[in-house]
Amino acid sequence: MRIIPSSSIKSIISLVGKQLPVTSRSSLANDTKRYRELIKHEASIGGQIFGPVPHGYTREFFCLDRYTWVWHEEWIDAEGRRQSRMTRYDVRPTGILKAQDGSGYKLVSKEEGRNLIDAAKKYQERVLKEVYNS
Amino acid sequence: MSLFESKDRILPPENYVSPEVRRLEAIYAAVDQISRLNEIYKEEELATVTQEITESPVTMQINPNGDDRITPVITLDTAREQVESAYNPI
Repeated sequence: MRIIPSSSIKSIISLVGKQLPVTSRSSLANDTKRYRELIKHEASIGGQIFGPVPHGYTREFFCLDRYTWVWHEEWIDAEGRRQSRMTRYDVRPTGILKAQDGSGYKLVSKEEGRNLIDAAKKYQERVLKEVYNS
Repeated sequence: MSLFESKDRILPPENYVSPEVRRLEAIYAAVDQISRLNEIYKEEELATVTQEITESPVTMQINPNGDDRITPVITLDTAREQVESAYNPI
């Protein structure tokens, strides 16, 4: 049986404990940044699904994860103040729950639910084509 | 946690999933998840239509425009077909 000298063990420990994690953290940070950039790009395409965005408005719509869709709008009001509205849709097995600007959840109507389903399909179609070239 | 299970360890290449692939997986899963509700909505609407028509089985009515023509009122089969086609557009 080959005995590993303690100096080698120390160098292995130093590799595992110091050098490798630095590389790993860096690549993890790059991946996180890239992931956010992709969502940002998707969100801007998603915002165009619902027709023209009024002048002075910013609209974003995107899939956050398997169960969550987000609608976000920003605009400048008549008094020059920036306003925003964030709507979050949580997809449950029996319906869709909606929360606006952090308020409580309420069940969306069947009509709104169907519109959201259509929007999700259009989002998939456009994002796959325009972001992922697939 | 053992020495070789640092949370900062590098993942083996075969386990690595790029951000692009993770996004695609999330989008496919999300669209699949939300599309399942279509079936639930359709079933609910079919049940409602069936109940309404069963409770009020009128098949003909006087034309609401006031003339003397008789207008056929939607039948259960027609109503169900309309719901089906609304949820499964060609």
